[in-house]
Amino acid sequence: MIDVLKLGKTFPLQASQGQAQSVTALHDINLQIIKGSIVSLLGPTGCGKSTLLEILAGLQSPTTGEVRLEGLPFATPIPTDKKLLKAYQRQHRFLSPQANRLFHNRPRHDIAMVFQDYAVFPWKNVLDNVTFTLSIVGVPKQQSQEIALGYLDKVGLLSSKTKYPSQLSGGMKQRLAIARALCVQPKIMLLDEPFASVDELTRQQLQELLLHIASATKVTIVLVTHDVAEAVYLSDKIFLFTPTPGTIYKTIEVNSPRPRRRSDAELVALQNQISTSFR
Amino acid sequence: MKKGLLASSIIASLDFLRFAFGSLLTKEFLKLALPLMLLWEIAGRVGWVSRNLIPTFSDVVLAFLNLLLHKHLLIYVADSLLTFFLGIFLAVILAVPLGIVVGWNVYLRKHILPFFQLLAPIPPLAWAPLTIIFFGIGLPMKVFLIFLGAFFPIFLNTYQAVKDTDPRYLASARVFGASEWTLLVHVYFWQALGAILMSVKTGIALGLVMLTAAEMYGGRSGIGFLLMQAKEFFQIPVMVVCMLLLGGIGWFLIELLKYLELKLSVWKEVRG
Ligand SMILES: Nc1ncnc2c1ncn2[C@@H]1O[C@H](COP(=O)(O)OP(=O)(O)OP(=O)(O)O)[C@@H](O)[C@H]1O
Ligand SMILES: [Mg+2]
Repeated sequence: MIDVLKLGKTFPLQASQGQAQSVTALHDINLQIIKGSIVSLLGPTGCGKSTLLEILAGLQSPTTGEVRLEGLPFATPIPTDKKLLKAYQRQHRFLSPQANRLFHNRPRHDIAMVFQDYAVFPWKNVLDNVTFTLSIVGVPKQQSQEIALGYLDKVGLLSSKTKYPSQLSGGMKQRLAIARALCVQPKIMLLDEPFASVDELTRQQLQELLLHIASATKVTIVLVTHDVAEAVYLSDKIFLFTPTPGTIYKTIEVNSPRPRRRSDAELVALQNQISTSFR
Repeated sequence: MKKGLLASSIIASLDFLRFAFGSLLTKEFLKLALPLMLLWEIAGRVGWVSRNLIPTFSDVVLAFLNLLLHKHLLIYVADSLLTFFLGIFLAVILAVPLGIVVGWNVYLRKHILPFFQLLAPIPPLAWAPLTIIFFGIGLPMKVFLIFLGAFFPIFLNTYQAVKDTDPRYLASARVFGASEWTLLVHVYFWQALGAILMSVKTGIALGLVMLTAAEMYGGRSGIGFLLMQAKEFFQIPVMVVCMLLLGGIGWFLIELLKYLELKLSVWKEVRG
């Protein structure tokens, strides 16, 4: 269970003409994600979806509010109180709050993330990209090879295992990013527009793959998208965002049973309902 | 196993030589170079230019052979090479890690970087008098001057490249729990590698200037010393040989780095 309580995020901006400015990306976000469910964050570009996902991944600190994982505080805001802020800054003067430990990896089996633009390492080949991730979470070398090959097989990249990302197509890079996230067997998967840059057929294939994984592993999936049909087809719950500052203005439960059909009348109706509500 | 290593290193060397000389031994270049060399030879012999001031090609070759056979040229060359390698080696081994650390950590950067930013603009040659007083005349002084010439470009470029590392790559490793050390070894370093190799090339060029200066003005050994001695005796062909040798060392090392760059950046290849 992920609880997001009154979450807000404001970015300070460098002043252009002497005045300090700031951008509020997220404002008063409240949401609850039930274990094992698939939820979508749906909204127009720039409404803070990626920012929310990165906060959920622990890669950014919220400005206000907090995130709880299974009831335990996971992300807490940077203190505003002057004294506390000083102490906070002193604590993080050497390493940023987002850094893990200095020398030893701190395996985080609970969360994995697929980034909007893949962010696979261009200097590592396909297999090494996956085994590197496994090495971070402490899987011994002999086993990591085998495990990595297993996941590459799952996403259909086994024949490209020695290629470098620059030799892959967008869809293949995306599969690699998914394999990399899957291999650590996370409890929560955060996916930032994972299927945005692939063709319709590949997208459907990858969606099926995702559904298969979800039903097989009971992983919680948080999916960012601006494709209404995709959100409706995949999710148990959809959060609709308004732009600048990003707020949730509607929560939609999708109750039709799985496996679903894309052309299902109920789904299409829901799709239209969401599309019109955006206008 | 041993045999395999030997065989593969021979193959690698041959591959490198083909790479290095490849651009010199093309039909296009030779078509231009050979007539020019012929012209050089003829101009001196026919008397279009004074042969005393501009030695012909054959004069230079003869001077080279004479030096090689009777004047222990190889010892001078070996001496220069040793000095140069020590200086460059020291510079790389100190500048790269320091640059990575300063680029990685803001706290350390704020403490350390201004110090180097103050020292960097001093022309490395201006350090020579102080260095000679400090180390006397000899190997340490020459190594230190070469080190100074190469250190700053390597350090500053490494630092800049590491600092500009794409935060997405950092995030995508951190989200799985990667430690800062893991990031340094697997992300920062690789992201900066291209810039580091580039800066080592700059370092070599500057180091060569420092080698020449150090040997000309302080010391009794090396190609620079030979050059200075030739000037005393007005042996112009010898001077030309020395110049070409210094240039040759620089050319060879820069080709070596280019080759290394090519081999290390397979992943940059565009797909095809
Ligand atoms: N590091 C940052 N500094 C300043 N502003 C930022 C930063 N990151 C995001 N923003 C701002 O916050 C807002 C939300 O950004 P975000 O990337 O979360 O949007 P998004 O919903 O993911 O958009 P898209 O659908 O295009 O990916 C934008 O207005 C953006 O300019
Ligand atoms: Mg985004």
